[in-house]
Amino acid sequence: MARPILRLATRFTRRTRATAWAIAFACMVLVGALSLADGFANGIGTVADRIGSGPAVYIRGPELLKSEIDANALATIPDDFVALRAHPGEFEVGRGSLPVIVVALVDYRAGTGTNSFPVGARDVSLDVGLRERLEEMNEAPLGPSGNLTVFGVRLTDLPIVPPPPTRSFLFPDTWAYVRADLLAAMDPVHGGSVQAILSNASLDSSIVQRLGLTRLETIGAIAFVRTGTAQVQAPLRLLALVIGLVIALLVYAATSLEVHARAREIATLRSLGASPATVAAVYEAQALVLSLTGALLGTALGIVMAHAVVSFAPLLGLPNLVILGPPFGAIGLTVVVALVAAVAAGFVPSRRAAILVRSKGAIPS
Amino acid sequence: MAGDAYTITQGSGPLSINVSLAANITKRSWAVTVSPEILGLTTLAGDPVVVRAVDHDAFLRLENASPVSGSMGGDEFGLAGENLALRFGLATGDTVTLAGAYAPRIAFVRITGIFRTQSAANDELLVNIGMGRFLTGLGPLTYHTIRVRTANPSALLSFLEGFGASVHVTGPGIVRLDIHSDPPNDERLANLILRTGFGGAPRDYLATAVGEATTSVRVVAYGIAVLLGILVAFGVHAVQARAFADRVAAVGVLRAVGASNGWMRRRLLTETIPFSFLSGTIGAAIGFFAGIFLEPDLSLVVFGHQVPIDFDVAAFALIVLVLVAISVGSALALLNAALRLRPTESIREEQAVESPRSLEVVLRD
Repeated sequence: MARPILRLATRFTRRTRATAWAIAFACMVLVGALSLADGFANGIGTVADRIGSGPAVYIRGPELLKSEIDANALATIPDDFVALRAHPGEFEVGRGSLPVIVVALVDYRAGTGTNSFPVGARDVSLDVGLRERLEEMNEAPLGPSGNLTVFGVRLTDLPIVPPPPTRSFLFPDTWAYVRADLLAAMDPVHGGSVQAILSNASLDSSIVQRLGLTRLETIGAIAFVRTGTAQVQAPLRLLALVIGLVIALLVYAATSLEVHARAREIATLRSLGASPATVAAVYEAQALVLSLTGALLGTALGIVMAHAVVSFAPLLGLPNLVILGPPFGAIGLTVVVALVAAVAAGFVPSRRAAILVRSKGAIPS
Repeated sequence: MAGDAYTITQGSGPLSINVSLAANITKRSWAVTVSPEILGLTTLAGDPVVVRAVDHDAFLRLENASPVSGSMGGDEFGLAGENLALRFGLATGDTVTLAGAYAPRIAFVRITGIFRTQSAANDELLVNIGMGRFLTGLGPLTYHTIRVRTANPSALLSFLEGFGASVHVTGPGIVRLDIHSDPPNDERLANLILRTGFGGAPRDYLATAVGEATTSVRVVAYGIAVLLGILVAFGVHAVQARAFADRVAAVGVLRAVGASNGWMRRRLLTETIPFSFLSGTIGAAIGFFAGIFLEPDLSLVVFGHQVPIDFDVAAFALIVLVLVAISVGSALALLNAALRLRPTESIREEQAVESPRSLEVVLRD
């Protein structure tokens, strides 16, 4: 039964050929547009990959200051890393106050955390840049103590100790350092959690997944181009919906006309013993064949056109970084969109064909 | 950015965009506003954002910006453009995390104010120069660019000539002027360097890289426009072919009664041009108003900048002209095909749709 259905379904008339071409051009737009966008992402990504990446920084969620990593889970990480706690606060000294970032760093080695600096439980270490700003504000050297407000809690008369002996090149010189215990004592929930994990090497993916971490790219330009190209690609995915709709309309129109034009033939098929399901299968298969033919043709056209655009652009004064690759994703998406649209659009006409002989006057004289 | 300002960027010679040059330009009477700037590409909460380190007073004057909330002053500031603040839900007093731009860094910036401007800066975050240098890893005396508003551009150019700065200058009426500098490397050569990694980056790499990235976006956009144009051309031709099929006999009759080919072409164009012009205008207008209608909910953000929907007369006219050209080309092609037929063949009635292969033949094969 499959062969006669296939034979009947693959009869192409001038009208169905025109429909296949129309589908092909619609698919060409989709494949071509996605290929160009992917090629752009590929080209920019190639340049970005060549820029050396910094240390691995992991956070939960998109914003470091709102990230909350369970401090108790850190001991299970076998790698060496630094746990960073960071919160905005206010530091008062002398006659004025300044907004500051209050930071606590705990060094983890083989699962054991060490908070080596500052030493005193209530000590505040002001880094050099922050010291300069405070001294400039007060127009006098810093006093021995100051008041710190974090989480809305104000601690008074905290001893000011010298700047940290070493500082990662990642950090500015304007932070205030305290012990992790102090932050946890001020707010057990927010102060106890860790905002970021800093490691020289990437953490094991299973740990990253278990703790729900995301990597924060510390060289922003790389993340900028990657997320920027994703912003370019996203609207083009919507194009697939539009193309799917166009294909569905074309298939619906073509299959409906076929059913209408072949009413006599459908009646003959039924009288020869073809079931309604068989007749429906003929026209559903025709819709699929039509759509698939158009999609394959359109895919080829899209690839050729995308390469033509990129190749000829420099001749028109538009040198570019678009590096086209095999657009497997675009092809897959196009074929799926075309087939789904064909199945959906072919359903009504094929069902109409299946029940045609029951209706009065189905066989034109 | 402010279209009436002249932009000075680094040339191929010694590093020149620095504090000394900015200070010397500022002293000149012809310099109305001088804005030294550092450009950083980074991310905010995982989305791309342009961070611009500026002298806030000069920059806001140059961009004709108005304050929306908070303070526009201070030594350490974070001023968010209104669009940026809306997209990220930023308010004065918030603290946000920024990654370094071209060097690995982590920094926190407190939003001290929100401003409004009509330029692309409305999507950007302004920070103090110190923060810009930290994020970009730029030296203590250098900037990326100096923008100057002046009513006397020739004085600016002669000053730069006399100062010995190696710069490129662009601005109103100046496509690009190279002062004590070679022209920027052939972009195709820079393109090759960026693609392959062979060779060194030129000193004016920033201008080249930004130019190439911009061109790449244009290539993608133009490529998609070409693909859509082909789809539209096919659609127009298909519709006209269907309409013209009914007029082939009329062409034969007109030729039989003595109408010349030229007369028929003129007649066809008289019918085609007004309709295609009208449909092109209506289509472009529908597109424009649909964009306006959808913009509040479906704003297109590319590389951290919201794409505004402006009425561009040139683009509008181009769309209409392309549609008219496609329609005219299609109509003439159809007429030429009809003119190749003898009038007797044109007039003869024949089935418009080829008769499909009979059921018997299909099933017997």
